[in-house]
Amino acid sequence: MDIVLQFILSGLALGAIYAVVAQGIYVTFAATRTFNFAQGEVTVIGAFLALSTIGFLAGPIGVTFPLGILVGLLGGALLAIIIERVAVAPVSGGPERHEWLVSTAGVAFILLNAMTVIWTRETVRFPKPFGEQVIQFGPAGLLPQEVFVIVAAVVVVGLLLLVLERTQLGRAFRAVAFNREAAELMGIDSRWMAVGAYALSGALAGLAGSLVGPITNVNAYMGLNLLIKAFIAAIVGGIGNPWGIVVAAILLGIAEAGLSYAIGAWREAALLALIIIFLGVRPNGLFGRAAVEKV
Amino acid sequence: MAKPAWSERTLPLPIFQVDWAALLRFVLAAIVIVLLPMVFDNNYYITIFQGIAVTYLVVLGLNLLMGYTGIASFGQAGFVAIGAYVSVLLGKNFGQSFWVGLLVAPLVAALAGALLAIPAIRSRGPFLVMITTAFGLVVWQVASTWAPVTGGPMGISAIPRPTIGDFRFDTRAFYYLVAFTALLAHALVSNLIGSRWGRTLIAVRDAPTAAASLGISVVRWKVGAFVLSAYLAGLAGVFTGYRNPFLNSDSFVVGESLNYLLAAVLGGLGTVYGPIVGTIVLSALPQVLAPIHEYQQGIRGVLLVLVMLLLPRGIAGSIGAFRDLGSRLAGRLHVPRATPWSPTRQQTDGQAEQPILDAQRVSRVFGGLRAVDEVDLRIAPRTIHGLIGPNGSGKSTLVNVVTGFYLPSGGTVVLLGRSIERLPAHTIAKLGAVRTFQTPQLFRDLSVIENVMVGFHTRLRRGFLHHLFRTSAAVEEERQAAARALGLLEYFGLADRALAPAGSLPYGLQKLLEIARCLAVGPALLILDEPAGGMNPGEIDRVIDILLRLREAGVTVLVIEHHMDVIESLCQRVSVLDFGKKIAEGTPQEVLNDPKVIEAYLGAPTGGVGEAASR
Amino acid sequence: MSPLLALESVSVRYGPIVALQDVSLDVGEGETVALIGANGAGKTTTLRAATGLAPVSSGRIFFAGQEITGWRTSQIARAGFVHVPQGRGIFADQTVEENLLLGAWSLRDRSKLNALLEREFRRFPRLAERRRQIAGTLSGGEQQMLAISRGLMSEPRCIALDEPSLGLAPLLVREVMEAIRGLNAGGVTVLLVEQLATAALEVSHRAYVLQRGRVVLAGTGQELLASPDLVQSYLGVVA
Repeated sequence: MDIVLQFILSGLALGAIYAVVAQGIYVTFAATRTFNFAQGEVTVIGAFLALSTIGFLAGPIGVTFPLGILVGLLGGALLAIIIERVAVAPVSGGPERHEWLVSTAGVAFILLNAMTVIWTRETVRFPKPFGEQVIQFGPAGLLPQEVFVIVAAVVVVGLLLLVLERTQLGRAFRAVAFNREAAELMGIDSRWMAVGAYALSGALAGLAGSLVGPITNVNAYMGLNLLIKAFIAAIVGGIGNPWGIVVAAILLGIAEAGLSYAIGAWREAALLALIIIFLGVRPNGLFGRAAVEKV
Repeated sequence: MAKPAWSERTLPLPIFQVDWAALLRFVLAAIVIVLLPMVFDNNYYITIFQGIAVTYLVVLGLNLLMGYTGIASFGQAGFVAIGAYVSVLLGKNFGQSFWVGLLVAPLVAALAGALLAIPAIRSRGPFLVMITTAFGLVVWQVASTWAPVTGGPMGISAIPRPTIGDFRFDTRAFYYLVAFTALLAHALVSNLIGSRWGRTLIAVRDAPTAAASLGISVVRWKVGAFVLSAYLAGLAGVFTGYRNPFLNSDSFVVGESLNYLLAAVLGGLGTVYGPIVGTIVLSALPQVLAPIHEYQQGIRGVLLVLVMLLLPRGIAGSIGAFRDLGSRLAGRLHVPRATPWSPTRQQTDGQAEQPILDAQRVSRVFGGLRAVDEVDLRIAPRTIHGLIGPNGSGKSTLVNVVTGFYLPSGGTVVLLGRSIERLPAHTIAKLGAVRTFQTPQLFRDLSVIENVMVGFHTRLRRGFLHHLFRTSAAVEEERQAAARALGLLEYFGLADRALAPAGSLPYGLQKLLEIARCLAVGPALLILDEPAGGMNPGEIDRVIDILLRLREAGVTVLVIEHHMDVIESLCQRVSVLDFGKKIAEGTPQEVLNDPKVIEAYLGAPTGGVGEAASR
Repeated sequence: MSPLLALESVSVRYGPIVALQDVSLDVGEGETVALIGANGAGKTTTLRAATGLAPVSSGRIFFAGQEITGWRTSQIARAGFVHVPQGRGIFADQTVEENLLLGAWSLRDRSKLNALLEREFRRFPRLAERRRQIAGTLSGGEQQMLAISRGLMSEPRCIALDEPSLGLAPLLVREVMEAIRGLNAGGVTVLLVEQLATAALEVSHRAYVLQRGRVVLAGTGQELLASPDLVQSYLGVVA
């Protein structure tokens, strides 16, 4: 029983990170029917930016860490805007084709290379702003940074969903996602929505990077795993459903923590195989609905 | 009808005799393969050539999958890994030779391909990316984790070179083995692409709905492409496994899958020579960039972005000479004389008066909206039956239900005495109900004659192996199919366009071609969804003329049409739908003078419409 | 005075298909003008070309004294020319009220928002009843009302309606036609595409008849109602 509680807590921390990155995939996919294959690298760059900011400022961690997060977030947003303008909007073929996938995969290679040149290939230790004293929740425990990640993710995702549901901008965004042409007829410029969605997804990724840094430390090559996990959450949640994505991200985090305990190193293989089988059974994810194909 | 002169002419077609130009290219390639290690007599270079040949096998298969079938795979490295580990472990743990591995391991990879295809072909876009990426990762993870068997990251060492008797394949001999395997694979895949196989794959890619409507099981063909591409990747895996004395999981990371994808895209998807161009350019890149080794990955990324921005169709796809060289329509060969075509009279098994189609109380509900509401429709043999009604009245939905594209929410549909309401579209097409679409759904990248030949799909008997090896039986069957297709095009007055890409035809002719393609299936019931829609008056007359000839010949037709002159001059009976319900049925004259019908068409908010219409 | 909206020899081609050929028409401020014609005659394409949804291959389009050829659809909407598309384009996952608020996206004077909402709820009281309902659950007629109201929320000078009668029962068709008459009386210029010719002509000042991508007939509603050519053009038979 105790161990189950520990899975759930550890899984929540993992899932919280996946949820933040996955919302980034959701917003770009909703607005443009594309996503950024380099999202994982943007996340890691966010972590490196935060790290460099903290190192550069060399002040008390209580001050520099928030500033680091801010720089990571803004850097991610800026990077994603550039990616949208250079590698997504101008490529031909449209969302149903493979061109944008290949070009953003190319961006992933570029960013990865840039990180190893600018920073390092080695794993870098990230300072622990809240120390390493485990916080007990009954029989289970979490690192303070893990608790912070969960809280921050709840706040950020909650804020995002609130904006989407309750504000005119959020409604306009959902309108573009639902029917781009009809949204244009309302006077909503879908081009700006696309840029905005990429900026938001970059900001979320940069934020996630700076949040996860103190837990995992930072390595230029960890982006792929983050992307895959976030991607799984987005797909299993049914890519068009932000709430479903949150649920899927948490389930994924818990499954990962549980499998890690049960089968150790086989965790990743088992998880991915389960995902393939799951998508074979439910090709539109947990909460996605199959559309009737118009003939 | 006078025989047009062009059927005597020699036309370029890819399929009928030995393609001397292709044979010459094959021989030239073989000479280059033989000479390369003599010119670059250095194991370093020979190893690079090995790598090119191995990679080419994967990219060749990926091109088949992505270029010709339209399914992107981000997990080909997984199949390569399966081929490598199965063959090496067969040798290490079971004492089998390289040759047994070469035979068995690609088949295991192909089996994995078949299994992966089940979820993959049901998915699109990001879902497909996810599934194939996850597959590649799973295989890699297993390879790294299952240390007792695969050695994990430490790998398997002391893998012996293949031998035949006392002959041991050194670096150069192994190169020859791989390179000639790749050349052979290229030739066989080219055979397939030039045959019914390639035609069907392109049809499935260009217009899956239309392919299903002609009796093609889209699922089966997509799985087939998946299996074949997995087989080729598995084959490459065997060579990967035995290339070096050492094998570990690093060779199968996700980045490798992206590299294969990059080579295919860079070369040009859906072209014959794209894969080789892409493979060579990509393999040469690390050599060229060796001095600035630390930027290599980034430069590869820049290349990916630039190609997508500037050459989205790849090198071979963008350079005319390559495109034409590799085109499926290359090679100047003799086309047979057209086999004259005429419609076959309807077989009714002695029961002349049994309806061809008998739909009873058919409904289709979309989220509360009753698009078709308990409609009865009986179509007598050898008649042309019209189906009219305002926009959104449910005509197309009814046709979609009858032809198996939508499941009915209620009611029964009987075609030639068989219940069909639960059958998939391609089965219904095989049973004899074949339809056109409101906007013509041609296979745009196939020629006009090939579009018709796709229509013969259900009648062609020669299978995969025949086409793979281009047996004379397969060639003869294709020749006959082409001859009959040409005859059908003559009947439709389209024969002079036989070799034009279907997508280049004017709209009216596209609609005619779609009807011709349906007739190739030999339908018991031909269903036409607005055949005259979007046509000019001359073209409409042509459609009417052809349909009259079909009627005389006893073909049964159901036609949706808005041009009432078409309905009047063709139909024996007309059914009228409004709000999903049948509101009238009878002869054209009866129906067109029915006040209910006039009201449905013109609208009568103040009740004054009867006067306006009766003037 | 120059017309509010004018199309000058507009052609639209999709590859080999000529959807529209040299269509010229104008709509004066305060008028209701109908475009009628059989299926596939080019009525919808005309509207789509006018609001930037279909690529104009030749010809020019003017609105309120400005040339708008080649403008983005959203830009045209913000300039005061709103298009209610065929099939309504409702945001089915949002509520009735949210749909209406989206219609007001380009409204500059936000203080008017509540008054405009109330105006539309008076126009179609049924929408007021369904204010918090998800729009996808509305009936076809209610969705059409919502689409029209949503189009009016930005206070456009001109509204183009594409087949507002599509899929509606006769009683509802009458209601929608009355609403069109009403909003025109309120000063909005209307360009109406309709398959139900008689219904459309009764609420229009003038009309153009399209056939196979060309304008073949033009005149006042009354003239056309009395014209035997009309039925011909529709049913293709002399009844």
